Amino acid sequence: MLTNTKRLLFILPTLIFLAAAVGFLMGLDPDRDPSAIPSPMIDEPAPQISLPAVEGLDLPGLEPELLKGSPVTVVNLWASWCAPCRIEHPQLMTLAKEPGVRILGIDYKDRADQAVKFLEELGNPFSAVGFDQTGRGGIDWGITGVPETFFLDREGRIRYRHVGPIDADTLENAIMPRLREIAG
Amino acid sequence: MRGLLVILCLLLAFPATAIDDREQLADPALEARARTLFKEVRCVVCQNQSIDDSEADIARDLRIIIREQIDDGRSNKEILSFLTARYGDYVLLEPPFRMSTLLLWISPLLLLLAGGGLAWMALRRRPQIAAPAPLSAEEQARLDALMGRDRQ
Repeated sequence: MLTNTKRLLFILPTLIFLAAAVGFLMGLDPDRDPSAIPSPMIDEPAPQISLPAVEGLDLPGLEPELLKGSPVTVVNLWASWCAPCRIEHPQLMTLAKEPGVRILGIDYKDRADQAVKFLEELGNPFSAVGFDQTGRGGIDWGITGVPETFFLDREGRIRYRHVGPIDADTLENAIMPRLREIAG
Repeated sequence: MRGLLVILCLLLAFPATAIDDREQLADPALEARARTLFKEVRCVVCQNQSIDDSEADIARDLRIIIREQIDDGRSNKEILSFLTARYGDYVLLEPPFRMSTLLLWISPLLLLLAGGGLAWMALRRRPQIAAPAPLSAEEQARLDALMGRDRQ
């Protein structure tokens, strides 16, 4: 005759196996990115930093006042030397045409003449670009590399962050729904 | 000649390190503090390397910032909170002790308790082997007879 405790002990290995199997199955999720770093800045006010204008570019630099006021403000960190930024650029051009969207750029560790050339060649989606020669601005935004894009609400709070280039598919399926949500 | 060359190479070799001299602080005590901090801070693009070990650009930028802040007289706690405000707890190689990391920290203790408990239960339940009953008079007589025969 088995006691209840003994019965439980017999089921235990099966339960442990099931728990482990569920864990492993979740690990296999193709949408899971093990290298993604959760940002502590989501739902926090955007970093209040000023960056000078890019020399030779007919746009103002980055000022904290620019981060709020628009239904959605997009802050894109890019550089002319960054190949994925080139892939991403057409999507920024599309975003710039959306009503209620303002795009600000931070030119990360770049050369001004190269940055100007990049925008002349691919088009300019930005209403202001801050020149971050030392990369301090990037660190203030908590980035690990370029491109990275932040989406801010009217109050200048960071609501969403995208690491890496925004391709056409990401723009359509991940970014646009977010924009509508942020614009409320 | 060749031996001399080898010895010369060995003498001139120095351990590879990600720290370049021109960033170092003049005060050795402050520099030592910086190095200790570097070992606690994760390089955010290399997953499991401290910024003390990493050659990545952003690791170098963080080293410069940490040295500047130490030079400005900021405490280690202030510097680490500057980093976690931007990169989260992820930037610390050793996760802080709080509710969300409670299980992580106490799991070795829990495993030890569980294993110890199981071992204790198993030992307690082990059936005691009863001591054999003493020989009866008849058996004793037979044993004596056998032993006596052997002795002859």
